[in-house]
Parts: sequence; C-alpha cells; structure tokens
Amino acid sequence: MKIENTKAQMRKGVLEFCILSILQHGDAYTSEILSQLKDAKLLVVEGTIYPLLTRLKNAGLLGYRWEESTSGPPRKYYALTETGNLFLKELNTTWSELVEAVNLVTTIKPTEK
Amino acid sequence: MNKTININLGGVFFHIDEVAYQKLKLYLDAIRRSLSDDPQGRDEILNDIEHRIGELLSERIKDARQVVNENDIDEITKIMGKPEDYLVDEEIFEDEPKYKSRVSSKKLFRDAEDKFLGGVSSGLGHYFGIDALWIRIIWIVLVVAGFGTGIPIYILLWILIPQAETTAEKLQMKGEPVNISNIEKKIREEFQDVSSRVKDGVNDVTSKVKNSEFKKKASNKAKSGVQEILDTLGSILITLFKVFGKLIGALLIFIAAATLIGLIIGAFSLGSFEILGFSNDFIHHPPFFYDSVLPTWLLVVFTFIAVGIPFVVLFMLGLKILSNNVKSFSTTTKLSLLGIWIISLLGLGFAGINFAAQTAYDGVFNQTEELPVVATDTLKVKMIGDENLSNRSELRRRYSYETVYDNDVRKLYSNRINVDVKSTDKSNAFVKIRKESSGKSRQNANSNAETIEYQFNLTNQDLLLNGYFLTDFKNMIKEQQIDITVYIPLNTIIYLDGSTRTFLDDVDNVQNVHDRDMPKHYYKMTENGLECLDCDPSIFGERYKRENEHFKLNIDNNGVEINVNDGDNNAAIKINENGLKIE
Repeated sequence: MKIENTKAQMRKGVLEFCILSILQHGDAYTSEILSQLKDAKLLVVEGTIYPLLTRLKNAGLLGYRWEESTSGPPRKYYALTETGNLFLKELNTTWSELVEAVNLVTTIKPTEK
Repeated sequence: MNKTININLGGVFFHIDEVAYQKLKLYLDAIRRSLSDDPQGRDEILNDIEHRIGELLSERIKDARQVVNENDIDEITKIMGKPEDYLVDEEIFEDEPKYKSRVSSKKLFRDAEDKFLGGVSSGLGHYFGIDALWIRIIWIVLVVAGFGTGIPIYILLWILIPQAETTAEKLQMKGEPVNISNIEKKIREEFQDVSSRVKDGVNDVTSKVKNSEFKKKASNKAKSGVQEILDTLGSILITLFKVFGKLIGALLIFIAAATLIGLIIGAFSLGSFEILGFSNDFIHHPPFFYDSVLPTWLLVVFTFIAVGIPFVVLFMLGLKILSNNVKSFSTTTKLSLLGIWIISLLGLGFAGINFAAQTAYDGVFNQTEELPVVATDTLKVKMIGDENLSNRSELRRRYSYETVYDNDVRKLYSNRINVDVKSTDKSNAFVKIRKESSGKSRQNANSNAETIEYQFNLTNQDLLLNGYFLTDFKNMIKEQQIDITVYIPLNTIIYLDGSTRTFLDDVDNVQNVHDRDMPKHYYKMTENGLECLDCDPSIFGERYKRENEHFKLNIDNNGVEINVNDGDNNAAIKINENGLKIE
C-alpha cells in the first residue's frame, strides 16, 4: 500500500465535486479551472482533469461552448447545466456530512471511549 | 543539428525538432492507449489535451521562429502527468492503479551513445532494462573465465544487431523493459483487443442480419459466425505464439551460445593447449584426430565449422524472434557460410572414410630369437615393466591403452600380451614374437605391426619379457597385440615367475593346471607336454583329476560304471543295456 496512491485517490474523489463548485461561480475554460485547482493544490498533474471533464459532460452535468479568443485558437468554455446544479447541491450536503463525520472520527479522544 | 517538423497542436502551429516530436508522439500514443476503455470519449479527451499542450507550449514559445525542443516536451509532460494519471474512472478505489499502457514494441539496438566497443552491452541493457555495467561484467567473465569464448559471440551480436540511428529507433531501444510483468500485460491487452474485435464482429454480423432483406440463407449467417469464432481462436493462438515465441527465441539463443562456447573451448583444447603445452593427458582426444591423412588442426577447424555454423544460424534465428529488427546476413555471406559448411562436411566425411579404412586389414609381423637353453637346463620366464613409463603400479594384461612419454615422445602404451609355452624338436630353445596390428591395406597393416616397439632379453637363463609394448600414438584403434610363444626342447625345465600370471594364455600342460595357477612352479617338457614338477594336486584341472582317480563310480542313464586303478592296472565293471561286463 503506497501512501502516494492513497493520497491520489483521496484527491481524485473530491475532484469532481470541486470542478462543479468552480463552475458554479461562472463559466470557465479548462485552463481557468486548472489554475484554480492547482492553486488549491488539489491537482498535481493536469492530465487527470480531462477524462473527468468529459465524463461530467457526457453525464449531462456540464455543457460547453466554443468561444473565440483574442490570443490563439478558440477556447472551450464549460458551464454547469440544470442537472449539474442539482447534482452539486446534493454533493454539497454530502460533503458537509462527510467533513463532520471525518472530523468526529479523527479528533476523537481515547479517554472518551 | 536536428531536423524540425511542423505540427498543428490544438489549432496552433509549431516548429518542433525531431527528437521532441517523437517524444510528444509517444506520449500522446501512450495516453490514447490508457484511455482505450472509453473509445467515444477518447478522441474528445485527446483533443482537449492537445489543445492544452498547444496552449502551454505557446506560453513558452513567444517567437514564431523558435523551435520546440526536448526540454519543452519534458516540462509539458511533467505538468500534464504520466499516461497513468489520465486514468481516473473505475480505478479510483483500487489499491494499485491498473497500468494499461501497452508494451511498446521494444527493439534490440546497439547504443552508439553509450558504447565501449560496439554498444552491444548497452543495447542489451536497454532491452532487458538492466544497467549495461552488469552486461559488461558478464562479458568480462565470459572472456576471462571462458578462454575468450565471449569474443566471437560479441562480434556476432555486433554484426547482427543494428545500431540505433534515428530518433525513433533510439526511443524504441529505450522502451519498456522486457520482463515478465510486461509480457503478462501484453497478453492481457492482446486478449482485450481480440475480445473487442469479436464484439465488433458480432455487432457487425447482427447488423448485417438486420439490414439484409433475408435474402441470404440462414446457413450463410451461421457460417460467418463460425468464421468469426475461428478468427478469434486464430488470434488467440497468434498471441500465445508471439509470447512463447519470445521464450523460444531466448532459449534458442541460450542453446546456441552455450554450444558455441563449448565448441570454442573444444577447439582451444585441441589447438592451443597442445601448442602451449598444457597438460596433455587432461584432454582425451578422439582417435579420429590422430591417424588421418588430414592434419589435426584442419580436422579441428572442419569440426568447428561443421558444428558451429548451424548454431550460428540458430543463434541468429533466436535473435530475430526476440527482436525483429535484427539484421540478416547478406546473401553473399549466407552463400559463403553454406559453402564453407559443405566443404567442412566433405572434409570430415573424407577423413571419416579414411579413418574407417584404417582397420580394414589385419597384419602380422613375426620375429624369432634363439635362446641359449638346451635340454635339462632351467629357463625362468619373467615379465618386467618400466616404472618410468606407466603410472600404474601393477603390471598385468590390460586391453586399454595408456598415453605415455618415451623420451618426451608421446606414445601408446599397451599390455595386451599373451604368453604361451610349447615344445620344439630343435635342440635349442627359442622365442617367437608375433606382433599384430590392423591397417588400411595388408601391407600397411604389416608395417604397422612391425613398428610395434617390444623388447626382451636373456640373462643367466632368465628370460625377461617386457610386459608392455609401445607404438605410435596415432595407432590408437588398431587392435594391436603381441603373442609370445616360448619353444623349449624336451626335458627342459621352465619356471614361470609370478609376474606372468595375467599374461599366460591357455598354456597346455599335462595336469590341466589353469593359467592363473601356473606361475611360481617348475614345469618339465615331456613327450605329453608340460608337466608340473612341484604343483599341489589341488590346482590340477578337473579333467586330469577325473582321468587319474583310483576309484570311480558313475551311475547315470547309461547304467552303472565302476573303475578301479592302482597306477598300472585297470579293472572295470560296467552294467548297461548290453548287460554286465567285467574287464
């Protein structure tokens, strides 16, 4: 059992949730999503995100449009769909519950048994 | 200096040098393969990735004339992550992410950039994924411990393995190491390929069935189905064959290399050991090599070539199976190898026939020597050896040869000597030496027999016979032997020394004493033959005992027979079918 794998798995698990959350605040193209995730240190390598985006898009949670760019080729802008919004809300609830539960478990003191 | 290539990456135009291009291409191919689970999304994802890479590159390349180089690609791959990092879906909750990338078809090349001689070791190192240092150590061990045997194999590999020259070749050379887990992976992937093809095939068939207006008969559909299954089986077999082929290739190389090493050692032992004067007795040469019209060195060369060339071919085949880019010999080389091989075979055949003819005829050489021994004299016969020649402590008749050195000349030492004693009408005793040998003609056999070195001498009526003889070393298989017959006049007394025990050969004597019991006794030559003068009756032969018994009773199918003998008179009673008879 490699610690790196476990870490990567933890990160990957919340990645979908984070992508949806980023798009909640407005449409974004891939590089913007990437830079936000990287700033938050949620992403080590960029490669991971592409299959995720495609999957979310195929699941109908995301939509995209091509937008001309002043510098370079057109960009792919992602936007949250109606379903995506609902999905995100549900994830939000789950996330809060999960954080609470994890906190409870990890901060429990041995004497309180 | 590097060639550059123009590419379009996500709609942006780049100059990229060849090395960087190959790297990028391999990287994208690897990603494509790791996404192979998702054929619909794959192209889209790859498109996105190309876009992103283009974007990242244009951040670095400000000037349109600037060329994308290897470092840029390395940086990009660092940012984007390894092909495995693109796998997010089902593998998330698995302990080890499945490593889906296919074993890139790795090939065997010589690495000119990391070479000591020809880059063979570093090439092998790349192929097997180990440090070239270890391979070099193996070579050194082979060369030092194996008397230089590694050298020809190295040269062979040098000739057969091409040098990695183009960038693509360099990358193929450094592909994934060929090891068990990779081979296993490859099998798995091939099967996945096969099963997806089967699925496609089945879909194809069903769609055809749906679309066809049922003009075709049912049997046709069934047939295509069967064909599909057969194709699948074929693919599975091919896959298995591919994998086992590698193993077989490795095995072939191993066997061929081992044989070649053995051959070289063999050739060395026959050739240079002799020249260098290393212990000759250590090596047992086949007699074939010693009495031939062709010189030994030529026979060695012929044998080496006749056996070696097929194994060189085998070695090459093995390499080809392992890595299909290995060069073949040119047609000229092939033909000359074949020519040399056939010449060697013919040479060996000629030598073989010649050798077989060596024993075709038997020859004899007789030698007679008078002995100053007359009637009533006592002649003592004794066998003597030469401790300086033979290493064996005991002197006795043997049928095996021994290699000895007589004044630094290598000779064949043999104890195949038979001794017999007979009577003569002449007044003087004499000894007859009969030397036997075979040869390729009667004349040759006779002269071979004549050259056998054998000595004896007489001192004070002691006949000292050599218990051995020497011949040319080449006469190893010529069935040489010596029969010695000592002829003595009547009333001569002969004493057989203990040393003659194993050499006596069916010596006739009155009392039928067996050869091995005869020594250490005195015998007198009588009218009837040799008669022992001091033997204990217990060693007399059965027949003699029977004939000289004083009382004998015999009852069998013929009847009853009673014999009584007191030395001079005989009396016998016989009862048989003729009735009773008393003599």
